[in-house]
Amino acid sequence: MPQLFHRSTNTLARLSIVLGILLAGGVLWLLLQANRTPFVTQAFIAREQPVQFSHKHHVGDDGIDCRYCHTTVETTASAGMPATKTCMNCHSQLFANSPYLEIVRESWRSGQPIKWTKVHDLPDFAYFNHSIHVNKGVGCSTCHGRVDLMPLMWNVASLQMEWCLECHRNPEKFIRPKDKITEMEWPPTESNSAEFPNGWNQAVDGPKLVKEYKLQPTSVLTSCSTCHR
Amino acid sequence: MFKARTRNAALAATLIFGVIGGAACRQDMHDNPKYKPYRDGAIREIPEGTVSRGSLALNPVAPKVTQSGSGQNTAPVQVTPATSPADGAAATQVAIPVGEDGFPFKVTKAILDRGQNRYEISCAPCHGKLGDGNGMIVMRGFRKASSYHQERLIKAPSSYFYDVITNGFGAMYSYADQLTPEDRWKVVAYIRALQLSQSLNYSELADKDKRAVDEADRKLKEKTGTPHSAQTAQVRPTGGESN
Ligand code: HEC
Ligand code: HEC
Ligand code: HEC
Ligand code: HEC
Ligand code: HEC
Ligand code: HEC
Repeated sequence: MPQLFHRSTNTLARLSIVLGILLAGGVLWLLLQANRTPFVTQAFIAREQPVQFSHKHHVGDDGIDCRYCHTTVETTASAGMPATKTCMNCHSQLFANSPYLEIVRESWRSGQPIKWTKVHDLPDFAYFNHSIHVNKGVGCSTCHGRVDLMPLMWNVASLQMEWCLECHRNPEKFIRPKDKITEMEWPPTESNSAEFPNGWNQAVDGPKLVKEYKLQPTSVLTSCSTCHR
Repeated sequence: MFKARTRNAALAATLIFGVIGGAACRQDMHDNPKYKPYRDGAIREIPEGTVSRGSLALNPVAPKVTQSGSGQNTAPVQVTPATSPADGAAATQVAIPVGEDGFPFKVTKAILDRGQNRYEISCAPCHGKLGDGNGMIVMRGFRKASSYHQERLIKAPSSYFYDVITNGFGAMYSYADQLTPEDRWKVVAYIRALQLSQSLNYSELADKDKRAVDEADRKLKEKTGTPHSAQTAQVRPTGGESN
């Protein structure tokens, strides 16, 4: 009986094993990468809200501090959402008849809170706490981006575990002075650098702050039970 | 034999891809049946009759509004700011006027700093950083906020300001839910300092602060070409760090 296959097909057969493994690896890699895309993490996708509330107007144009509305960000795990009354502090007079604010007035009359669409939402098995970050010099814009330029809110980070860990491994790359946490333009540029005549150099000033604020060692910050408790 | 092998391979593939593919899919563990703030994007309603923690008037730093003169420390408090060791020059010494009924604590630099911080968050949008009532929100058409520098409010007891923050006044709503009783008093202390700063004369300043005013004056001139009279220059009120 003649040989069905030529000798060279042996090589082909071996090659196909290697290629098969490579292909499987490639598919795996693609899946993992797909996991990181905004399509999955919803990053950079603005959410519709019941009221067209604009951080760009309130923070960027009017200069209202984050803590006027997110009052508990320095003291509790949750940053806190403004009560309807907080809106009415100003909108009892400003745009008091604007159709855009009808839902706010309706909520004020009925006492039913406004239901905002959540933008950031960690799974319940991960523990996050705003106060520790804010009190150790991690600013809002490090995690939430330039909120003062957002007409509608979106998230700029994947909020995946690797994102948390990237900072928990090297906090000195992100930390800033505590009194600058709500500053949107950071690191300081020409226009807001008055307090830093020598400029701000993260490579030098970051590690100094890590010492000054007595951050815990990275071994603690990356231990599973810090975030999964 | 051949069949079993394919079946095993198929099984293994399903397992591997299933585990990896499924890892990121939303599962029950993402939304446990437990209470979290803003679970549905809204503040949970507070059941009728509940009192939130720390909101009672029993709070020790919220003393009764007393008759004139019977406060806890009626003597003016000397605020002695720490001067920066670099230049060693003494800053202007000021005594914060306490009003008729004083504060429930001794006014220190740390308390004024906290007061300034909270003032600039909660009050400055309307009352302005100088307390003249011309904040950004007023510029946008809100009713003009009161200036703290009118005779009536300079003379008012400190507890009056505490009362306005707690209960509101006219077009201004209450700020009780945005400021703790302790912070309200600190804001009041800072308002007292603001009032003082606007009535201070150039000649009363310490040399260090005079230099700071001159410097600011020079910069303003460079920018706008119009000289700014040093006599009416505004002094930042935190005692020490005028700039
Ligand atoms: C005038 C009140 C106000 C101010 C000031 C304000 N916010 Fe907000 N913020 C809101 C409201 C209302 C929402 C809910 C609607 C939305 O998501 O746009 C919100 C939502 C958010 C969210 C998304 C919450 C979610 O669902 O995940 C973030 C993050 C946020 N704000 C950050 C900031 C930061 C940072 C600042 C300061 C630079 C700031 N906010 C200042 C009122 C305010
Ligand atoms: C400190 C004062 C202040 C507070 C508090 C405030 N706003 Fe505003 N709001 C403004 C001002 C000023 C404008 C005008 C913005 C501009 O054009 O710069 C505005 C504009 C708006 C508009 C657009 C109105 C229109 O007809 O164009 C909406 C909607 C709005 N605010 C919603 C809200 C909501 C919701 C809240 C509560 C979370 C809130 N605001 C809290 C001051 C405030
Ligand atoms: C270390 C990163 C980080 C910093 C710094 C940070 N945030 Fe957040 N923020 C988050 C994460 C993560 C969530 C989602 C929390 C969740 O779903 O439980 C969030 C959620 C929020 C929300 C939605 C309400 C809530 O608490 O779930 C608001 C509002 C908010 N942040 C405002 C702020 C403000 C204002 C600051 C600055 C003072 C700030 N954040 C600083 C990471 C951060
Ligand atoms: C930009 C930097 C940064 C990011 C991003 C960040 N963290 Fe942190 N985190 C810190 C710093 C700094 C501390 C304070 C460490 C200390 O107290 O020494 C901290 C502390 C914590 C703590 C408290 C640790 C303790 O021992 O009490 C928790 C919990 C935590 N982070 C969870 C998270 C989670 C979950 C995420 C992702 C959603 C996250 N962090 C993202 C910088 C960051
Ligand atoms: C800095 C905080 C932090 C630390 C430390 C941390 N995790 Fe996580 N982990 C998270 C967050 C946040 C998520 C949710 C990610 C998401 O939503 O995709 C998560 C998700 C997970 C998941 C589920 C993954 C998924 O896609 O559903 C597993 C499993 C996990 N972590 C295991 C660990 C283990 C094991 C360790 C210790 C080696 C650890 N984590 C340490 C923050 C942390
Ligand atoms: C939304 C704008 C706004 C904010 C924010 C605000 N106020 Fe006012 N305030 C006003 C207006 C307007 C008046 C004048 C009310 C009137 O005449 O009807 C006023 C009046 C006052 C008065 C004077 C009452 C009198 O007898 O004339 C005091 C004191 C005062 N505010 C203190 C504060 C303090 C302290 C804060 C910060 C916690 C604050 N306000 C925040 C708008 C505001």
